[in-house]
Formats: sequence, C-alpha cells, structure tokens
Amino acid sequence: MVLLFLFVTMIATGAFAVNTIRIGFIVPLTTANALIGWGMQHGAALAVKEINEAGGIKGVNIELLSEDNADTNAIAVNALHKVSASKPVALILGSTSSQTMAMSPIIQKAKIPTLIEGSSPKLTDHGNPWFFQPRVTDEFAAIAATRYVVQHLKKTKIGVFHAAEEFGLSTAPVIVKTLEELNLKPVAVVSAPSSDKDVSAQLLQIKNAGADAVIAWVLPAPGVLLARQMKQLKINVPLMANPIFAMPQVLKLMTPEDRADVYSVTDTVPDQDTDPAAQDFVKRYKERTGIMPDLLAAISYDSVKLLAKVIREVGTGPEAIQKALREGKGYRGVANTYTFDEKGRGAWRVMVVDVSGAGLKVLTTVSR
Amino acid sequence: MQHLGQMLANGLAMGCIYALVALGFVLVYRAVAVINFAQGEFVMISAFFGVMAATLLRLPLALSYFVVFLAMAAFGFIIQRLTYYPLRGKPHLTVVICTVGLHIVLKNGARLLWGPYPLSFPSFFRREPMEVMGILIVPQTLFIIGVTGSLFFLFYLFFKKTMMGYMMQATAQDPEAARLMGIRVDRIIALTFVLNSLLAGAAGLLLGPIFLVTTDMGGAVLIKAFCATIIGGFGSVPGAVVGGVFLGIVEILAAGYVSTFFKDGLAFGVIILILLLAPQGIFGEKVAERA
Repeated sequence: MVLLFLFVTMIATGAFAVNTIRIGFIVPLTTANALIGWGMQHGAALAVKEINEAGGIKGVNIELLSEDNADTNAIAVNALHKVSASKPVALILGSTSSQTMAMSPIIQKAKIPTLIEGSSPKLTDHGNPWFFQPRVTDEFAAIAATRYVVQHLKKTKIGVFHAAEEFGLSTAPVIVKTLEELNLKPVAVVSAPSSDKDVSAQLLQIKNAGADAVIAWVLPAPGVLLARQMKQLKINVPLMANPIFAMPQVLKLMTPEDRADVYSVTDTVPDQDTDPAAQDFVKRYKERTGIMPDLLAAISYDSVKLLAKVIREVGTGPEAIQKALREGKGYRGVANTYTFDEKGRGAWRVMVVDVSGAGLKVLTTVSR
Repeated sequence: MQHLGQMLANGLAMGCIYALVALGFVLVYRAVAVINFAQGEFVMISAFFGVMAATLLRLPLALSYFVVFLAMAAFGFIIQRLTYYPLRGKPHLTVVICTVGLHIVLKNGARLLWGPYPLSFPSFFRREPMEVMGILIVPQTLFIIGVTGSLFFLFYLFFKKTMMGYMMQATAQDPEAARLMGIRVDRIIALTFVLNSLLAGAAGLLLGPIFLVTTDMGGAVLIKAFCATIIGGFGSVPGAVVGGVFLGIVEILAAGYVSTFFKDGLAFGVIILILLLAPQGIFGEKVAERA
C-alpha cells in the first residue's frame, strides 16, 4: 500500500515525466477576466508549439504549465505553489497587478525569472530582481493617453474614472499629475470596483462636473459597461481608456453606438503591424483560434519566444537567465521591441487608437 | 434636483433587480424554511438560456423568453428533485449547505458549458434613453421596474388570497401538520421550486440586456439580494421589495454624494444600523421557535 502511494505520488509530481523545459504560466482562465486570459493562453501555447515543432531548445521540448488564477489573489498564490512544485525554469504571469504583487514574495524567495504581464509600475518599482515586465507600464501609457486627450483632442475638463483595484488606484495619480503638468486639474476623479455593474452614480458626478472628456483605467468587461452607460446618460464626450478597447474580443461585445468617440492606448495592434513576423503571428493565431490576437496574446507569445531565446543562449540556470534578460538589448517581438532596464521594465512604445470605426485606426505612436 | 432624480431612477432600477432575486429567497423560505444560496446562479442560468435561445437558436426574442421560462420551470423541478427532495426531513443546516454546494456546481458547470467569455443578450427595447422631466431612463429600466412591481403584487396576492399560498405557508411552518391536514407537501415543495425558478428566470432575462451575461453575474446580485431580504424582514414579500429598493437607492446615493470608493461600505453600514434598530427587519415578525 505504501509503495502504491509512493508510486502514485511520483506520477503526480512528474518524477517520471519526459525531460522538458518547463515554463509556468499563471493566467485568468475563469471569471470575467477570462476575456483576456484565454488570449494570453493561446498566444503562449502557439509559441510553445512553434518552438517544439522546430526542434525545441537544443532538442528539448518546452512544456507550458498553465494554471488558472481565477482572478483572485489566494487562488493565484495556490496556482504558483502548484506550478513551482514542478520546478519551472521560468514563469510568465498573465495576472493582474494585484495578483502579481501577491505572488512576488514567493517568487523572490524561490528565485525564478519571471515575465509579468501586469501593467502597474509598482510591479517593477518594489524591487523584486526576478521580475521583468515586457508590457508598457500604466504610468507610460497613462501619460501618453492624457497628453493625447489634451494636446490632440483639445480637451481641458477631464473626468477620471478608475478601477478601485491596484492598477487603477496607482494610475489615477499619474493622470492627475500629467494634467497638472499641462496646467489643468481634473473636474472629477471617481472609482468603482470592477465587480460593480452599475456605475451611473460615478458617471453622473463626471457629467455634473462638466467634463468634456473622460479618461478611464478599468478592466475589459467593466469598460464595456462604462462606455455603454456613458451613452445612456448622454455623456457624449470622448472616452480614452487603457488597452481594453483595442482588444478584438472586447470590441465584439460593443455595438457601433457603444464605440462612438472611444479611444484606447495600447502596446500594439497586431494586425496592423507590417512586420512580417507580426503578420505571420496574426495569421497563425487566427488559424488556431478563429479570432484576431490582442496585445496580451502577442505579449504572451513574445514572452515564451524571448525565454526560449535566452535559454538557448545561456541554459536553464536562474541567475544566467536573469542576467541575460537584464543585459539583452532590442529583442524584436511581435508586440514590441524589448530592452529591460535596471528595474526590469522592457517595453517603451504605445499607440493611440480610435475604435469608433469598423476596425482600429492607429492615430499616433509614442515612444521613449 | 435633476441629479438627485437621475440617481433615484437608476437606484430604483438596480433595487428592483435586488428585489426580484430577494423575492426568490422569500418564496423558497416561506415554503420550505430554507435559504437558497444558489439563487444567484438560477438568475445566471436563466440569462445564459436566453442567450442560447436568442443567438444560438436564433429564435425571435419573444419566443426566446417563452422558451427560457419553460426551461427554467423544468430546471427548477429537476434541481428540487436532485437536491432538496433527497434531503427532506433532514436538519435545515444540511439543506442550506446543499444549496451552497449547488451554487458552486452551477457556477462551474456554466463555465464548462458556456465558457468563460462574457456574452451579449439582446433587448426588446432600444438602448437610447427617454427623457422624462430631465431624467434619462433607458426603456429596459422602466420594464424592470414595471415587471418587479407587477410580480410583487401578484406574489402578495398569491400568499394572502389563494389557497395554494396558504398551503405553501403551512408547509413552511410545519410540514408534518400540513401533511396531516391533507396538503400534498411534496407537490407543494416542487411547485415552490418551479415558481422560484421562474422568478429567477425573469430576473435573468431582465438583467441580461443591461449587463453582460457572465458566469459571475449571479454572485454579483446574490449578496445584495440576501441583504435586501434581511432588511425587509426574512419571509416578507413586501419586505423583499422594500429592502431591495432601499439598498439600491442607498448605495447609489452613497456613491453619488459621499464616496464612490466607499460606496459598498457605506451602504452596508446603513444596513447594520437598521438591523441594530430593527433586528427582525422592517416588515419582519418575531417567530417563536418550534418546540
């Protein structure tokens, strides 16, 4: 009986597993954020497939250990423990900034090189040397978004609407500070938990303050409701948001009326990137899933490819991977070109897009 | 004044949703003295049935609604047979825990069946608001208020004026005595679950067009509907409606006039205050424990 138990345990922990290079991937596959989570999963899985079909990394296949974080800190940490038990050489966290912060101490203790897809600048500010952020930070994106609204849309009475979660709470002050640098003050700053379905009270505050534009930093599903409720309350002013409205799966939920006068600032619009590698990625992603990839799918794809490149060059030792990521320059992915600074931030270009029409229209590009 | 009027209109609509779900709590409680913690998931299942009927089967919307009601009636009966019926006669806590388990099973089952992506559900009405005395009201919102009011009136009459309503109350108070009086207790309980399921069906069909249909939508209204039931007085039909509307208005006024960030904290703070003053709820009655 004891031997049977040991045998089953060894099977469960993969002691007999075929030799693979394991990369942990913790991502929301359930809850409302599955809207973005499954895109990330498909992007990463596509990259793994391509690498393995090309012979893997020096003949060894990559194994993607995907776990659902259920958009909850506690479950994200449990998922991390489960993935860590299989001794991955690296991690990719397709989690929100709140969950990434919850996992950070464990990752720092375990010393696992980790690519994080959360956008809060705090993820790289708080000093975990194992974090690398291949995503444009909210700080960079929010500054670009605010400047565009003021300088190009010529709006001066800005209402700020942010999610009551970490990424929203940390971005709102950046928007306010950027406005102050442009000699403006926001007419209203309001927030709502992402679980709230009715944000009319918040929008009425913005309307009554006389806003001529709204800058919103929210999650995708609440963002759709926000755009819709703005129209229902006849708040017919431009709405500028984080990348949510540049995601095809979000646009599918919106009517043309919902999308009118709506803008988004995004790392990339994959199907409008003329780079042959990006076009090839879009084609193969669409063949795999039937829909266009969004920026997070592209970043997940890039994250796997970047890790594969680094591991091919320096091996699977954590310190070697960390050093290679830190010192590498100008890795051209399909979403962006990555050069990680001393804090671990690696992406430095955003696009402002108009989502009003049938497709996304890139209005301008902002780089460091 | 217009600002206040707009918030009251929107708060009333949200409150009606809470009231509809709270009515479901009351219905089950009045018949079988059990709190159904899967009530929110019944609402969610109904909304997904609606999406399937309208978009997958491409039925006309009115026919979709009818099909959803039929499906929910069957769903309520099946759930009752699979969960409550085997546990009849068992301690109340056992049944309550079963409903908690049912909530988890339904939520995860819905994810497996319909996937994790939010879906859109069409409405009978256009999305553009009407303007009434400076207040913007989306037609769907008026529909919600109208349906809730009508259902409240119907249920009030049902429990107060019909033999079936009396039988349901008798069954809830003492199933054995009810059985001795010739009441077919098992049938009454089955009917209760069917009616509850139809009520949840109405809530799901009303909620679906204004919010996205997701597997989490039930949970979003469950806690607040439960609180509405408690505020109004557990087991009270008028209490469920008053409690729901009260909660919807308090939370929107808290967000509009005090703090959007602490909206929920303020709303639940008011609830605690009410319960300190009236522990049995606004319309609740103290009920003596059974010997």
